[in-house]
Amino acid sequence: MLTKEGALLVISIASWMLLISILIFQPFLLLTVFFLHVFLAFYVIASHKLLKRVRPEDLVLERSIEMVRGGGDIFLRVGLTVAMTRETRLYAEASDDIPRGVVPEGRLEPARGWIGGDARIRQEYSLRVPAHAGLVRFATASVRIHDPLRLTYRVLRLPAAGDVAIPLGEETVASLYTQLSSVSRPPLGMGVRSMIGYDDEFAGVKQYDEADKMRDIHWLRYAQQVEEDYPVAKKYRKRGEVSFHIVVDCSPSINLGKERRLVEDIATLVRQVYLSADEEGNPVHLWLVNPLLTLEEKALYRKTASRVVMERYISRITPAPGRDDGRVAEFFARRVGRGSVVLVVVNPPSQNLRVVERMIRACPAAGASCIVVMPDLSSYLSDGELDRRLLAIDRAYKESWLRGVDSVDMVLELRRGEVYVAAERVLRRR
Amino acid sequence: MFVAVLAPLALGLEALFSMVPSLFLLLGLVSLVSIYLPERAHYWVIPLIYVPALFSLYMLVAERQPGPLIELASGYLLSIPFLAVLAMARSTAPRPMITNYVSALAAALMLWLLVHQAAASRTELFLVLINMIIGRGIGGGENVPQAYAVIAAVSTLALLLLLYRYQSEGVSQEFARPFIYALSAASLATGLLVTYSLFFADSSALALLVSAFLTISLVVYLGVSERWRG
Repeated sequence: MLTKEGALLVISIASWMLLISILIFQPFLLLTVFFLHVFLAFYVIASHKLLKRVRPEDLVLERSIEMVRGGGDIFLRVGLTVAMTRETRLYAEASDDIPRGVVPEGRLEPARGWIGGDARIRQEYSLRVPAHAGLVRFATASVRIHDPLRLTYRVLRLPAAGDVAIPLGEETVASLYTQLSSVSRPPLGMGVRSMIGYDDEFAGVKQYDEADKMRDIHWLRYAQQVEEDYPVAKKYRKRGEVSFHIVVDCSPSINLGKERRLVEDIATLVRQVYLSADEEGNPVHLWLVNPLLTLEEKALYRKTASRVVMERYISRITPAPGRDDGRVAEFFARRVGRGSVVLVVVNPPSQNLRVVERMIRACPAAGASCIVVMPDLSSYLSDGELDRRLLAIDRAYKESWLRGVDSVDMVLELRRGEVYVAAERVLRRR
Repeated sequence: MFVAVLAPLALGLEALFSMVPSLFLLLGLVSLVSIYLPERAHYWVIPLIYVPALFSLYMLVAERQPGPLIELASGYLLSIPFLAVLAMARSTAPRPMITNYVSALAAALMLWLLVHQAAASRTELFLVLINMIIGRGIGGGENVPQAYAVIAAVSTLALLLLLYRYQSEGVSQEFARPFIYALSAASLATGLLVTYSLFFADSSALALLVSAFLTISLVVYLGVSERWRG
């Protein structure tokens, strides 16, 4: 592209050319301006062709970020340094692409100067970070390289990824803990009823008769009655077969704690839930989000499955690098049905979050309820590894992720040594 | 730098020395050029500009003598090429340097023609300009000597070399190539145009056509191709 100076120069010379040829025709003046015009046109085209030979790999970007607190706000002081690996010196302008959700402090001036050889330029600026931003994600930076006369330029948009985790304030952390620890409970009057062995839905109350089970008596409503003295029983409506789907995200983020303690706990949780549900006659389907497995290995979808098969499935719950292709989510969306209960075990951040999100979002569409189990990071790290900032960041990320997936019916935290408690809560809550 | 400003300076100086000097002519010339004096001299510059202007106006209105005002205006006219040369000498960026150079050259040339017309018709420089503006033309004047064409060519080359030297300090030889290619292309095109003008009378039309083609090519190559092709 032409720079502003270059464009103005072209306009100026062209205007002079017209003026001289029409109003003050003088041959050698006309020739002088003609010479300058031809020079300008050829110079710009040839320089631009040369600029096109500069590859993005020739430029080196380094970003330094310093976090500063001031006046109750968090600021990031960012320094972007641009250098060139080639010996060629070029005039350049560098400007960092501001991440979403943050506000630059003051006017954002690009860095200008020569790069190449030992020469480098540096852009320094400050960003104000909103209180609730858990993560500031830098993606790219723009570098404009110019010809020596600065009449033309080329823009190179270079990847310069970098994430900055923002520690949360005390109030936010407290509210986050409250949100994560609170679980959805059934409204008063519906009672808490084991899912196992039942596939009915609460539909109201009726007068108790001998055919009803004792545990179906609605004691609270009975106690509230003043005039009638007969017991009241809960009335249920047939909902169809309740299937249990267990989804485990096998991303490297589950590799947590000493001797892979979290993986062990997840395996125990899956085993416990599977055995309990299977014992009551509810079909259990197991799903793994693991990029190293084939689709057949990821999805254990059978009406009945032996314990050997279940153990084989559990043995595949290992942290796997890479990103899952997502086909398992499509398969899952076709299989999950109305009234099913889906248990998702995931530890965000994970490379497979998109796949997991698709599986979660498939639940309300199919009429299934979804329970998400996430590990409590603090219980899996030993004292030496405990870092309050890290924990706060982890919670902030989990909170923001949960806000994004609004189709979750219940969230449970998995703590070290409390696997059976978690399994019991999963089984007793819908 | 001296070579780069040689053509407008030589034309301007010759025009200046062709004039019959008078007080108001010199005051007009010096007062405008003195604008470029350092800031500490501005106490002298302001009266130097306003006093002759107000006095010559007073002479016109009160004494009905237009002579001082016409001489002062002629002095102002004489200063134009020198002002453009000074502006060019003070700049290092391509646009101000090139536009000031062309302005200085055009102003010096016009001045040279006006001065020689004034000398031939024995009228004031300013009145010749007025005559030209109201359509009476400069007809019958002398042609600019061919030597100035050579000086202008040398000055133009010196200007471009100076510009490159200012802007490309430390730049590798790789980026000197476009500069040399462009200089060669411009020289070739100008040579062809001069050759064409020896045989045909419409060389200025050809120059305009070539210039228009180059401008459009530039816009298309840099603008449209960049935006539409990515």
